[in-house]
Amino acid sequence: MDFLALLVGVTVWSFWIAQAMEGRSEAARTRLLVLGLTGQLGVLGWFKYANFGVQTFNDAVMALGGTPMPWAQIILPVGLSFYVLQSVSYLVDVYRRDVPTSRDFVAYAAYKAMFSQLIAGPIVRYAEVAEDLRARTHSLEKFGLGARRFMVGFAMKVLVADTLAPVVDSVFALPAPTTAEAWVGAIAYTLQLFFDFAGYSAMAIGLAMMCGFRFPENFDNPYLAGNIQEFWQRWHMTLSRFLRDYLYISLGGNRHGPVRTYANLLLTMVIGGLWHGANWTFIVWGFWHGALLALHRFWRASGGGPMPWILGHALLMLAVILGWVAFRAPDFASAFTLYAAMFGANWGGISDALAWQITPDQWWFLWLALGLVYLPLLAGRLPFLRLSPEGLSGLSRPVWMWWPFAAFLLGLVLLYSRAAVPFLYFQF
Amino acid sequence: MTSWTRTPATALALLTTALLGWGVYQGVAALRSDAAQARLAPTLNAEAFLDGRTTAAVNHVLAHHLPADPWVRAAGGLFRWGIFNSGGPAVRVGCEGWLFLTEELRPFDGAEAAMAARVEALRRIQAALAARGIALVLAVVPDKARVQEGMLCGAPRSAQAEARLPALEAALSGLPQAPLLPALSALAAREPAYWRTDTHWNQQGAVVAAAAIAEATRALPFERRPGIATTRAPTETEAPADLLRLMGLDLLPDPWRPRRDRQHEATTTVPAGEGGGLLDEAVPEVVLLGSSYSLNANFHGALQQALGAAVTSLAQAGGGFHGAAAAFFGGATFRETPPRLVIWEFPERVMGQPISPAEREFLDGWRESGMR
Repeated sequence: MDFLALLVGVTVWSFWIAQAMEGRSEAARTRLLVLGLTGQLGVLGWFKYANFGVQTFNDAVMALGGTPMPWAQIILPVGLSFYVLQSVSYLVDVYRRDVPTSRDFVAYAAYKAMFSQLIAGPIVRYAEVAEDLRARTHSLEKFGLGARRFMVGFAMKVLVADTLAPVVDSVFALPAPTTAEAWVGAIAYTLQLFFDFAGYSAMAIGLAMMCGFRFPENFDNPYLAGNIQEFWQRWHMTLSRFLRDYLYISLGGNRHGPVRTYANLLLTMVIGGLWHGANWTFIVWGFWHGALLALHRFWRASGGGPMPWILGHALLMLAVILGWVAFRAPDFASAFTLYAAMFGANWGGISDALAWQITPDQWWFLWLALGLVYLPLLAGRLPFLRLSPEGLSGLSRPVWMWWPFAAFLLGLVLLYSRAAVPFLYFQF
Repeated sequence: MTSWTRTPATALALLTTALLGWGVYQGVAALRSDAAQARLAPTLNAEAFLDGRTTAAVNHVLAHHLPADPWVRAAGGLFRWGIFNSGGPAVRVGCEGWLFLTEELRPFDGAEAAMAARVEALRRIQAALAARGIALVLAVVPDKARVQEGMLCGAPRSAQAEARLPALEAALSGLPQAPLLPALSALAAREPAYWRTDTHWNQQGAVVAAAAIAEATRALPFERRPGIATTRAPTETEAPADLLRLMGLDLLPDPWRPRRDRQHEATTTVPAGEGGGLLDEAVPEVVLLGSSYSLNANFHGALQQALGAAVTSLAQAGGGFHGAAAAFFGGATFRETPPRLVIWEFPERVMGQPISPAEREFLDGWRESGMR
């Protein structure tokens, strides 16, 4: 009930602040925006980062021989990170006059509380659904296509991501993984995270379509990117554009010279990393990606031409996989254990400690997931893989339409025959 | 949207609606079941609703009590086995339909220390029993994966699991044991000594194991009883198949799963003894402490036949190393009418497993008092 009250409070606050901006002077609008954002970010900061701040403070105090401050852990309300970002985007868009102020509280509250994306995105902007909130059409065709999209996401999550989850958990729990094990774990997590989160996004988009709404896409084959910039244009796209439009550009973007641009890229990605969770590992992950983006920009600014796709892609995936290790590891010590193993510190194949934990179907799904990542390269030859039905003909049409249903039924069966695995992005 | 999607998308919409309707029916039926009502009843109040316990209870019911649940799980097991030759986390699939418990194959953290603690307790127990004139014979049941090793066919067996029995035998040296491995291995060279789709030995395995124990107790003094006989049922029935159950395939017909073992079930009858205790109840001279191996494949009957003596079985399914022993040595029967021979059967695989608090208490009890 407390968390529901928080959602209501965040909704009322952003709605009221936006209303108050109407007809005010620029200075007053700015003051209201600052007030509105302070409230929103204050809530996010308290619930998401207070534990982290106190823990860091106490660690420092104890290192100096002091007494730590007593502290009761604060529970992170589910979905808070996502619905606060939506409020921020709404307030800034209203302030910038990019969207008209909502005059219908019920419609605005419905936007904030839309169940399919409330907990883990995509981060939908008010402008993207404002028209649908006012008037939307329903049809069996739209419902069916939405259901199809939901089933695609469900299959990604249950068939692939959840099958890989025990492999990842096992490797990251090994006290001394071998080189082969560390790479298996890192690659399995890279695949699990994509199929889990892209699957969730597809389910959210499908559910919205079933209800007559159109949500923005959140993934576009990110693991086929050829460089880090392209990766971020394809991975968690609604977060990327949020960071770009509300953070990077607000920091000055690339308008103040190269040094400031690199600094802005780093800062934006560090904040993006911190948004994912209150832990130093997320900060390091954000810094890593910020540094990669800055390096990419430097390369291009220095006259470096685009690499051959295969080379750029290989380097990108190496960098992304290394980044995901820090993202997944609970602390630095665990991350360094895995990094050391990946680079040969404990050279060896699959040990007894892991072999018994991985079942044959999990090995197969690891390869299957890898194949699915690269399958879109054949999209010209396998048109039923396309996101959209446009341009399909012949046998591709029924295959495109019905394979998700078959995969959905199979996913239902597997869902009930094993332990449930929560969505990874629920923790953010 | 394109024009051709209209008909198939409409069909999918209707199919999805029908599926949702079926899901609602399943959910309602689950919530109305007796098991669900028992779980839900304590949570049907405002306080439980507001703190989420009602939702958790409903979630549990929907996850475990759908009418279709067993069949859906069976379909999941069939998918894993049929396509990937996988038995899921608890079972490893060998060749020719042989299944093995993953627990037998995996390593355990701290296995050496756990085994040492159990062996130390065994030594203390043996000494304490000997002081009271009670003989103890240990019967370590070798892993199915050890006796039927040829059927593993690549299923990963850890070095720790492979070395477990030799290490255990070395640790137990000096304690009276009935060597079961040679007898079971000799049998396995001719015919299966264990069920293909169950963890335990089969009836033939039980007979040779019982014979090996009888051989080890030949010189011990206890009341022999003539006339013990074993008969086999004329009709063949299904044998136990705990591994099929763990794979979720127990409900399916044989063509859709590893073929289930069959048996002519054996039954052993023991003529009534002369008694001699209060109100003429039988006083056990031979007691069998054991695990589920003692409860399967008529091992108890085969042991009585091989010994030519009545045996009181106190075996516990899932009792592991200490379950039956803790119950027996802590009971009044042991204190008031001690047996002359205790046969203690336990599977080798449990010896390296982590020690639970209850078992720790049992083991420590022998260290402190020397006799319970």
